[in-house]
Amino acid sequence: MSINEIPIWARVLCYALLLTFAITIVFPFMWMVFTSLKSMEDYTNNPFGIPTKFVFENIIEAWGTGNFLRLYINSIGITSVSVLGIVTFCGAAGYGLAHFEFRGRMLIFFYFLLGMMIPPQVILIPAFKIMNTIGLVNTYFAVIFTYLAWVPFAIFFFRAYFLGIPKDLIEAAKIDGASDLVIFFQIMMPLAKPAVVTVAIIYFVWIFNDFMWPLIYLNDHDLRTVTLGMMSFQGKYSGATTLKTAALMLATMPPMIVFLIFRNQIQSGLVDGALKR
Amino acid sequence: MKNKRTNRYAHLIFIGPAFFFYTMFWIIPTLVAIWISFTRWNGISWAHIKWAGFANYFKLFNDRFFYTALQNNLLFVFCAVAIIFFTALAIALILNLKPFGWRLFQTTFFVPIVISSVVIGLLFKLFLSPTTGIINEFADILNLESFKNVQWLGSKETATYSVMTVYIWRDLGFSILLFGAGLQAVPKDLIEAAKIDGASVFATIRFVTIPLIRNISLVVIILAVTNAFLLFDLVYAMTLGGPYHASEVLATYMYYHGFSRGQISYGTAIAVLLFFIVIIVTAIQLIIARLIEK
Amino acid sequence: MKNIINFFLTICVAVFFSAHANAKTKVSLWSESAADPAFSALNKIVADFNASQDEIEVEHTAYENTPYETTLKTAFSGGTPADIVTINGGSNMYQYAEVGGLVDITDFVNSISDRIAPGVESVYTFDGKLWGVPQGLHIGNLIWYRKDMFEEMGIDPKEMETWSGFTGVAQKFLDAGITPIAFGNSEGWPGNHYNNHLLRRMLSTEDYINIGLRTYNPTLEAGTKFNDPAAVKAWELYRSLLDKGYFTSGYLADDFPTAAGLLFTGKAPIFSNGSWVAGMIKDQAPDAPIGVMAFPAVEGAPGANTELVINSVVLTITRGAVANGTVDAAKKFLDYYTSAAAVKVWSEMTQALAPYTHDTSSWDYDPIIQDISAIIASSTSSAPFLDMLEDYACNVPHTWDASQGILTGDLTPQQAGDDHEQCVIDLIETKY
Repeated sequence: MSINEIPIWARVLCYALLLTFAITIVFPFMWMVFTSLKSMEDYTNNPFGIPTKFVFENIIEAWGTGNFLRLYINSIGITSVSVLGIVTFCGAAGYGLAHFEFRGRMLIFFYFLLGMMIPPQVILIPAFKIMNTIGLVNTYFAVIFTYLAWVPFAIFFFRAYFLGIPKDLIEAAKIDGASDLVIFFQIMMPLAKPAVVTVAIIYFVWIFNDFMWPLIYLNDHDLRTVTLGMMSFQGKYSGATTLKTAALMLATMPPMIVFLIFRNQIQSGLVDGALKR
Repeated sequence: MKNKRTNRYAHLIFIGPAFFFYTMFWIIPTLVAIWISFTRWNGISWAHIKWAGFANYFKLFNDRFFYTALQNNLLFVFCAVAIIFFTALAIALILNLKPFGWRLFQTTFFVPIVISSVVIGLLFKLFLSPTTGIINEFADILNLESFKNVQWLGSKETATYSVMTVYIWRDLGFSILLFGAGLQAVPKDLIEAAKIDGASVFATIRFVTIPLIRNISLVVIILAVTNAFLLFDLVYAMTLGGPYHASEVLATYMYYHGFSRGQISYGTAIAVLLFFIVIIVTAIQLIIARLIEK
Repeated sequence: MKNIINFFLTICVAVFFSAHANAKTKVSLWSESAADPAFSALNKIVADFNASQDEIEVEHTAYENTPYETTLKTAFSGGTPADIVTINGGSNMYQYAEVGGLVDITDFVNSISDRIAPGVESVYTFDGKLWGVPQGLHIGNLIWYRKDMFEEMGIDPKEMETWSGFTGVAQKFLDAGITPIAFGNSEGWPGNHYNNHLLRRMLSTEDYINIGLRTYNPTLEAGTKFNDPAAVKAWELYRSLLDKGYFTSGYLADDFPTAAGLLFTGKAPIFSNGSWVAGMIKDQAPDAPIGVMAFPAVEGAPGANTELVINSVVLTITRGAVANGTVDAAKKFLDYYTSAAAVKVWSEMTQALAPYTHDTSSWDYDPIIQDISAIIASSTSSAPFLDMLEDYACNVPHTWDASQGILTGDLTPQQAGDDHEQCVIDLIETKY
């Protein structure tokens, strides 16, 4: 099926819809970039247009005052480790739930799903108490372990995916004498690449953008993440919209650029899975 | 023989790690939190907790802001989810037809998901400020007089809708992604067969594609509805639930009581109630899905 | 083999010595001063203290304003707050003292009492004991104004000394097409301040203090209750500012920094807020011609405009220090902190007034601070903010939130008063 097979009027509507939505997305971000590159006078006289003169002070000041390098190192570090953990543990759990017949299988699955409905604010204080008893508060581990508990979605996704893989593959491997772990790591996970990629992306975004857990666990200035640092800009600068926007830009641009760079891998990862099946 | 023995416990090894972290850092704190909702406590010292039975819940049923928050959540659930569902489906279907520049469109639509809700909320808050934002200049350009002195996030009539618009704007991308994945899974041969039979694109979509994405649709709806109930970041960043609780949602209302007012027990009661609401709603959705299949 | 043993021994010795080298007592300090100039000021004080002696090393972690409350609460309930923490004085501090989260340092504070300025005690006293030392002193009920805009209109700022004069000035600006009062109440507390300062004028000092303190001391007789005419009038006057169109158009959408920005960029001529604005002016608009004066007096009401509302953040020692065995070390830091050298650093860098008796004549104060000092010098009484006297459980919903509800029309002034009074009654009943 291709777009050229539908009548012209429908084609026009389709493009109109796509374009409209695309513009509403591009516009705020372009506004953000332009505003952060303007001086305050320029912004007051010309809030919408391209900067008459490109000014870099806002960005430099925002970067420095906000200590963005440290923020990024922390955010990326924490997120990467957590995502790796989630993919491994939940891939394993999803596979376990999909291919092993055992008593209480559905029960455990629902047990895992329950977590999706628990608002994180509920467990804020009790979780802190537990983490504190273990002595991990104010370390990266506190947030990482909390993220490793975000299993519901990943398990749901992996299980659904593994359910779609025919059992004969596994049987064949077993006949060959492979142990379960070998089957999992060498056959199943590679087969599940699209699911791995999807889960990894989704969780990377969730964890990178999370704000509440770093807020209570990462007390040290040196441990803080990007979203945490962003909230701090809220109260600092009064009239300087350009400065506030510069900070926002520093928080949004890098993830966006990374995403844009890797989008091909991401998209082909999703497509590969479809072709293989 | 050795294979059989390792087979018996293999599933435990696979499920174990996830089970451990999940139970330790998510489930157990939840149980503790449920207990707290039956107490009276200001959150500071564990030695000063007093048992209060259902007192918090009774107070909740008489609390008009609780109903405002619930109403707002329902507004998000029905309006926002409906808009997101149909728009995302339409866009995903169009993208699946691979129009000119579809890769570029796809990438663009994903962008807002990559950015934190908090940051997006702050960005639009800047936009919508009546005094320093550009929204009023916008109205000038488009010559919309009635829009000029609206307070947007500061007016109880428009606050919730403003937040909802941003919410839809941001979350569309995620649903488009999910639908896209579901559409990829539609077997190409079925499409080919329909084409050979002479079906138009519309007919193919209507009779072949749509029925096959039923599963992913269910996933999209359940996730969107759950998100609509658990919404926090965006409201917190844009309005803090104001003005005067007009744009409050259950999660922000819980935060308000738990942290601004120091009434941890009451706040936790709200959270527990929210939790049960979500469970019931999800169950209802699954039942309806089961019924439709029949 | 011998090489291996030698190597092993060297490592042991090195580890042993490095462990010993780090035998300083570590004292952790948390503050709300994450923004400059406060951030640099506190860091400097800490650095100076660490450099001045060898036994104690203070480590300072700074938090943003809004998340700080959350972090403190979770830390106190989880059991490990830092050894020293800064807390807003008054009821904010009381809630932690009440449950044994803070160390009673009455003896220590009494030993340095000659350094502390009189009139500030209410900020760190609770239940007859002393719990901390003040950090900077702020006056809450001030009016900031643009000298240039007043000159242009030919208005004498002194007209704003009375309420009718204040509204008269606002009207003159409005007639000339300028919205006079910069106001952004999206966070609730700026509106709470208006209510606070109006109550300070409508009530006598004693009534003002008792009306809030009841929630911590139910035996107090409140001369005026929240639903009495005088208190209700405070809300009426506040609402009248909106009705007459004096507030800028973002009165519920904008937050405090945005509203302050309107003053700094000359978009609005009047802004009511506290002396901390001076620090912001120094940071963001040092050349702006901004003047300051006391909040107007309301005709016919007991409060004079020489009666101040004050606020001070307090440094306290927590039970975290007890657990760590660092209480004495912490006291040594507080001793340094209250000395002239440290107070000078803080006051000069943050342009805050010093609640201490040290001689400030040679200090580098901006003219604005000198204006504020003059206001303090001619004041007749000081009382803390109401949200420092009253339990947050009643204060937040019935002044912060109510200040929004009054503007949206959800609450009438009488309703706001009735609700507030009811809350106090309920609270006292369940708490005591």
